[in-house]
Amino acid sequence: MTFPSLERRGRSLFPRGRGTRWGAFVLNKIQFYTERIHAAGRRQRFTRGLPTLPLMIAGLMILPVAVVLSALLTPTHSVWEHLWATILPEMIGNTLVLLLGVGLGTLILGTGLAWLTVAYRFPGRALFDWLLLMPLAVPAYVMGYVYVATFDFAGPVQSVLRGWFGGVIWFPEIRSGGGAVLVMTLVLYPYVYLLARAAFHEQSSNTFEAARAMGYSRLQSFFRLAIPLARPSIAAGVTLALMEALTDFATVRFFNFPTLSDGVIRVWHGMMDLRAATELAGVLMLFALVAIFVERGVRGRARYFQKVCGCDERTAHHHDAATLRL
Amino acid sequence: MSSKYLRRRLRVLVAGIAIVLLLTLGPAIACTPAVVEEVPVEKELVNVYSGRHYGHMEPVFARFTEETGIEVRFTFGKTAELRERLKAEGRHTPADVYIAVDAGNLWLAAQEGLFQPIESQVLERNIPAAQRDPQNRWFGLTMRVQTIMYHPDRVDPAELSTYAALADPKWHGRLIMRPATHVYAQSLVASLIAAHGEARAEEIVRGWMANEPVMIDSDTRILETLAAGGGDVAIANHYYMGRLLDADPGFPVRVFWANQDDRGVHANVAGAGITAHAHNREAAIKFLEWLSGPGQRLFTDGNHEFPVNPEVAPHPIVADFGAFQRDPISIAEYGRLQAAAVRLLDRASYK
Repeated sequence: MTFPSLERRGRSLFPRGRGTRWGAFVLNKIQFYTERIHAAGRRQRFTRGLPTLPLMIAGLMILPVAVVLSALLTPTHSVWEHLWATILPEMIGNTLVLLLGVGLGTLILGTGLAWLTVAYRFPGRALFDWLLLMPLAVPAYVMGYVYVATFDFAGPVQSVLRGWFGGVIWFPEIRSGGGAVLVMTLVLYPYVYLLARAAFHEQSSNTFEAARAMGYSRLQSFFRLAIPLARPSIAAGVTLALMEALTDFATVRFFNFPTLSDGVIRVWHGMMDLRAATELAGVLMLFALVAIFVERGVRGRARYFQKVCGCDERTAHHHDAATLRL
Repeated sequence: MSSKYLRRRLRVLVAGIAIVLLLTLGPAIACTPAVVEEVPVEKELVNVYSGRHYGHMEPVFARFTEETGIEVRFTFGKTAELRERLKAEGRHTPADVYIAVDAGNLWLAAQEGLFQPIESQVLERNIPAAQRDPQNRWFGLTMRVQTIMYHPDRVDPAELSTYAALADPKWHGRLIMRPATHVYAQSLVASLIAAHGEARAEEIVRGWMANEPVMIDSDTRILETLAAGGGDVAIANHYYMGRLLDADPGFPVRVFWANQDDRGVHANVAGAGITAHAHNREAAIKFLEWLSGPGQRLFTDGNHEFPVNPEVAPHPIVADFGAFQRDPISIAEYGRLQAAAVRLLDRASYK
């Protein structure tokens, strides 16, 4: 649908209040978007034609998701009854504990470390600035293996302690939910660190000087200014970390902490039932969707924008929503 | 900083990255196993999908090629995933032979029609009937024995008898076991179901759980924990013990053959079948025949397993564990009962 003449004249076909309100509203919207598409088409040629390529790419991306989710429509009743009666409640509980633990852990560690490296000067800061990203390069299960092998009963730490204190010593069980949360937090916090650090860097120092001048302490300006301003970035980082935690099935196994992902493998390889495993994967995907919606909720309508260069006297002002969405 | 300077730095950076990538990826690519693909038949050839990739498979394949002139092309992967792949590929599969590390997947592959029955006197002579499919669609090639291990300082072997007896409360807090996610735990419980029926098997597993065993997802670590004093008795596969003894002859854990006074100890197989749509059927048969005969020692020794062929002597380290009587039940039963075993483990809260 095009309105070439209208576009040229830049006037609405249906001014407000004429005809039925609803019809006018819809037509106005159509006109508005048509004009925007045309404007975009002038800038980028390929959006003029049918978006075949984007549709194909989108189709490829959606296909596996659709296959997994569609498996939920035709559940294998016998397997589900069995799972509900036995291990499914525990797996869901463990998954929630893992999400909560890793969410909180990466939030605190990632944000805190980002603030330290951005706001403070200390020896080795430049080194830590990028060194703190390194855990992202280590797969969680490798880190998990190292931690278990180091801290379990036969590992070097407990062996040495037994040597010193003789015989029986108390040591927290590394093969546990706590161990899984610890290791995954240590591997996944860089997602939060990276995004929070970028957000903190973008914040204008003028804002903080003003805040300090108005009587905020360092800590207060961190909690009341830096964090609220960086909230969208931090929420995005935590969501990424949670997605990784949700899909991990190797690490949780080291720690005897069966989650839904472990359940998928267990049903597939153990019961040799690919169908039921796909259905369980569908449930897992619902968890991922919930995590994304929670993130949107947390981010809320808060979108902040600041001039980075400091060349403008307006240090912070609200900006058009679309530009800063991550 | 001028843009010229930046551009030069960028160029240096890109060159550096390229060199690092070449250095790291080059050898990796060179070492990647050859992808299975069809070539015009000039030389005899057999394509293998193998779920077994530990225990030095390449020397075994190389020796086979050396002795027979038949080239082996192989793809490694997870046993269950390769089976799904075989199923998905259907008649277009390049694989002639599928090697699996447990009876469960062999049984299921046969059930799904992925194998063809093979008439071979050599295979029938070399492999006892209990260790192959009753319809000769797959054949066990190596045997791993899952039995009781103990620390001699803390356990008198006279206290040990059967798997079921480990449910006795005297073992409370002293047991180490493998989590339910592993096929070893699953096929052991399948063997209990086959021997005692489901109700009694569940009672036994609940008894184990009441003893609050330490769960460790690695047989090697189970044995190391036993040696360090983190438990007194464990159920583990014999070949991990063989590996540890190979590295340290003084490793302080002993093997006890379970259930010798009744049905015998539980043994699983790694085995192979010829795919229903094999293009190189004759070469594949030769391959399996060779593995069941001249290749047995090389195939089993790499992993300290027992040969299925009774004519072939086992590796000296595992021979030292002593003679044993094996549960005579057909291995195929473990495959048939595996899903039931997993459900039983779930019900009994075996983690």
